[in-house]
Amino acid sequence: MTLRKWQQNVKKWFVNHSEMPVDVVMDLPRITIIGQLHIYIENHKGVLSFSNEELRLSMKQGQLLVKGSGFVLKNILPEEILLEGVIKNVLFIDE
Amino acid sequence: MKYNWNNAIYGHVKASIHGQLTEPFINLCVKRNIAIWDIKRRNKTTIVCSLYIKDISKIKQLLKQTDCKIRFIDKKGFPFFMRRLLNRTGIIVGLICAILIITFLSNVVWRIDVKGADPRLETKIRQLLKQQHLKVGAINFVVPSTEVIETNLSAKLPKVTWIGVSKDGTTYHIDVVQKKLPKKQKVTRPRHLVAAKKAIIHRLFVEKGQPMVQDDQFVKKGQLLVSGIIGNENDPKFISSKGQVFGETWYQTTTKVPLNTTYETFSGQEYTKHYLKINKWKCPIWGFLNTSYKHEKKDSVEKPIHFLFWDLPLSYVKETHRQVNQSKRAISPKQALKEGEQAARRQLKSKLPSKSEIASSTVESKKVKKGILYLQHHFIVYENIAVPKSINTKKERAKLKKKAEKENQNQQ
Repeated sequence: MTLRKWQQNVKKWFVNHSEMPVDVVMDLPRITIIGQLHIYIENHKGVLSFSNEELRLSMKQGQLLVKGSGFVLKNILPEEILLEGVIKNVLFIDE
Repeated sequence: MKYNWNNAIYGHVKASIHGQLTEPFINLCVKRNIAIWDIKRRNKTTIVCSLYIKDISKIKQLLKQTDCKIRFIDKKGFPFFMRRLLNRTGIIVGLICAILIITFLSNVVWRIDVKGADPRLETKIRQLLKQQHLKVGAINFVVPSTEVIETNLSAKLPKVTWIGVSKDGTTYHIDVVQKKLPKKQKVTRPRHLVAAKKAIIHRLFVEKGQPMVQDDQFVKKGQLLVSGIIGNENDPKFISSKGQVFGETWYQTTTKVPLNTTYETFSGQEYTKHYLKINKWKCPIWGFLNTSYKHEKKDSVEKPIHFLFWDLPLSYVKETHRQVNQSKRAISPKQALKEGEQAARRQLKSKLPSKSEIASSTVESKKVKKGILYLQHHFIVYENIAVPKSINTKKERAKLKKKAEKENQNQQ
């Protein structure tokens, strides 16, 4: 555990002192939202639940919950997801 | 999202997946690199998604793992499109026919352009081409290659400096450079120039020969103007005399000028009727409503209809009816006189040879009868009156000999 924390700290320091993007270094999700129409999520770890009003994705740390209506999973790849519909909420849920 | 061409080309299916573990099924698909897209939830246990056909065998295994059932809803993409197309033979037959017709038509000679040749040479070239099966409507397989045509043509046409044959799609271009030979001067036999009619000599231009008349001399018809015999009497030489002798000649003309004339002008109003002509029967196809004008002129254009290379007994006729206004015009005697003279001059000029000129004109008489002015003009014209007359050299020589002998006798 201490090793992990230490690793995390190293990464943080690295991000602060280099020009590398945070999401790449720290393996964080990168989320792009275009209006309410599209949401594009990179670095997800799988679909937990999907319905017309809700998409729940597992992340490295916790979950990501997207709420809205008329959801369609336009495309899904090992690391990326493109969701279409009317997006209303994006929630990070810690475990 | 953009239209996905991949999806259009590869066959894919729309399927509904039924089961408790639909989300794990999606995750498994993603993990196994199976493309899955357009996922929608229908109800708690069912999702609808799109999949490639090639992946379906792999999916079966995953379905077993997640305890889901699949039902296909729709088949899309090129392979399915082809399969559906094959079920409609009419379309296929039509498509094949269209392709065949297009290939046939694109292998037919549609036009032959001949450039740089005068009409006579052009018809000759076209004739020669026809002998080599190159004509409008010929099929390209029959036509020899352009090089062969080129050599054949240039061998058969000695008057041509260069000939180029090129093919441009369905059109053949034939470029010709013609030889321009200088005009051969006619070799004329010894001759005199004599007067064609009675006249007073105005000017003499003699290139060859002995002038026998002077300016302002009156000559009768057939009188010798330029002699073709030169040299002394003992040693005469006969040449072909050449030159122009302008003489003053006289003409009388009568012209009629109507003082009141009716003339027609187009009003600009017109209507057209269209017909389909079958043999000799004209069937109107457009323009029924228009009523005819009181005064009108009709113009009709007929265009035959061809099918491929055959003339059909059908033709399209377009008739244009133009309204005509008739109006009357009266002219004053003075104007009539002027117009009469102009008309007389025109009339005379058309009769005279090209280099003649009208020197003066006088009105000899004029009278008006029933609204028509009758005019008589007298014209003085300068024109070339010289006409050649061949010399009988034997006779002339004998004549000159006799003359010389007589003179000798007289002297003795």
